[in-house]
Amino acid sequence: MFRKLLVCAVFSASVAAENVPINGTVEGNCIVVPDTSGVYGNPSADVLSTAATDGGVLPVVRYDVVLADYYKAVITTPTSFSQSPGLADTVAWTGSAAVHEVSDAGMSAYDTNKIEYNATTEFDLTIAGSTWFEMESKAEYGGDKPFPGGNYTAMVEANCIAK
Amino acid sequence: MRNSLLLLLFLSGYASAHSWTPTYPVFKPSYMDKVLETEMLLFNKRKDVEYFEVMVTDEEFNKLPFVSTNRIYKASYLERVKVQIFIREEMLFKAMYICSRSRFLKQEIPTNMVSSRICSKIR
Amino acid sequence: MVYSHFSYSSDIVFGQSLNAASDGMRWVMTNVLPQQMGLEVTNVLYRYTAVKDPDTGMIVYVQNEDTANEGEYVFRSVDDWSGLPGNTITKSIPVNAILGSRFGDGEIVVEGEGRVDDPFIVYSYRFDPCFNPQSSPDCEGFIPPIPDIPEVADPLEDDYVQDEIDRKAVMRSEEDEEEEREGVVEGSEEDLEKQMLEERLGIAMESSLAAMDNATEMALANMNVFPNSYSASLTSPEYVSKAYISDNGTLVKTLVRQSRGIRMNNAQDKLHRALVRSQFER
Repeated sequence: MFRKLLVCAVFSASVAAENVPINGTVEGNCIVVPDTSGVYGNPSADVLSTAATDGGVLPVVRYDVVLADYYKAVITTPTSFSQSPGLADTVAWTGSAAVHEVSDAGMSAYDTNKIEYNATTEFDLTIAGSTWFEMESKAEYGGDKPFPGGNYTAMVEANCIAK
Repeated sequence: MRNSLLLLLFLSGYASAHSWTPTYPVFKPSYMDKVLETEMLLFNKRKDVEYFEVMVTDEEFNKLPFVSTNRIYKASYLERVKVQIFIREEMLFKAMYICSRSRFLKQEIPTNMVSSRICSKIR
Repeated sequence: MVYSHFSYSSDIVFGQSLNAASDGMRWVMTNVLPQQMGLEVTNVLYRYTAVKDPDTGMIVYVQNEDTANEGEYVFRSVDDWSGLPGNTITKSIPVNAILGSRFGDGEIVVEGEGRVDDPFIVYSYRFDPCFNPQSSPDCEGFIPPIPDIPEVADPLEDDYVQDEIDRKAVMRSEEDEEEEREGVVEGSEEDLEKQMLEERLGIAMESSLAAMDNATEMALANMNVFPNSYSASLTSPEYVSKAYISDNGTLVKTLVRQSRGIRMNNAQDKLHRALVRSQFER
């Protein structure tokens, strides 16, 4: 008696594996984030001020830097209104910026080492992390005249400059 | 009677920002003779801003001539935009910064009056 | 002070505690983190204002004791304010998913000259509600608990009870035997009276029933419901409506109770019950 012989070929599937790389680089990066909106108080008819004692709100801007010592924060407080009613007289502007909050205790030294000129304040961001800066701005209408009624808008320039 | 004044420095209810990389861009020769090029990446994390002005400046932040697809780029919220910058070879010694600055449309009432500018330093 | 809010992402619950330092510079973590099995702390965020003289030295420690290693800290952050002006600091420190049970008492410690105002410390955490599958029937791997079936004891299986039943059965059978023996002698007249009473009642009942039937038949006949053949007389012999046996109690007297039979009957009952019970025995 003949027997049929069945020959089966066994095919095994091989699992091919590939390594898929994920590349990335950590490079210096600076992000400017407006944190708190500012409001001008009107302590007197000819004065607009963000100081809390004058009924205003200090604006706050946050700087996030990834790598230390790559950037400097250059903050320029307003020197003119971007939007306002017609003003017949000149406006005297004063302003300053200071460290408000830090993510590293060492950032408190930014205030000590800051450079001020005109309406601009420079902070050397020597530590990676987040730093909050608050700005003071004050506008005085010339000739002790009252500010006309209407909407007033002023712009703060927050710059992050690579060193 | 004192007139009421509506005074706004800027309004911000949330964190928003834009980033501009690399920090130290390098110009390399382009396909054109005596013209250098570099590429920057703009990432917009601001919901209230869609337009950014690109500029090349010297040390004093005086604008210098350069060529790019646009001067003002549109970047929607969470959008990345590649910006190619071309300058002449002789400008390389004067150019120090490549900056991007947020811009508002005139007809839109801006909700955020912070003008943020980030400058990368040319290596 | 308990956890504040949490959100769901698939099966993992993420949450954030309230300010752990709202009541002071020391806090107990059982009041801060929810008591969940498998809970992991993922991040610590803190903020405070350091008030100090810029020229003095001051170091602030924000830390949690390690419940697994006495004397050590599972989390510790150091802020050195020495030689710096005071300021408000905000720090967010990722924690490598450390079990919440390892977080012991937390505290803010100040070394040097100065103080800390308005401390604010928040712990971010995550946990799997089905870390223990038995915690909810909705969890994968939940095994319904098997209820305990109480063992019911059949009193009839008790040998003492069965013996008592047998004893009573035997006693009863003897009592019944005695009573009936007495009842047969004294109660024969009663039986006779009963029979006569039954006869009278039966006759009375039969009369009343017959009267009712007759009245009904007459009414139906008047209505011509039944045919004439219905009321025709039959040629069959007399039909006796009732038959009874009157033996003046002699039948009862001849019946003698057999105690042996009773015992056999009881024994058979007992065996029968045993056989039936054996079917249910395991």
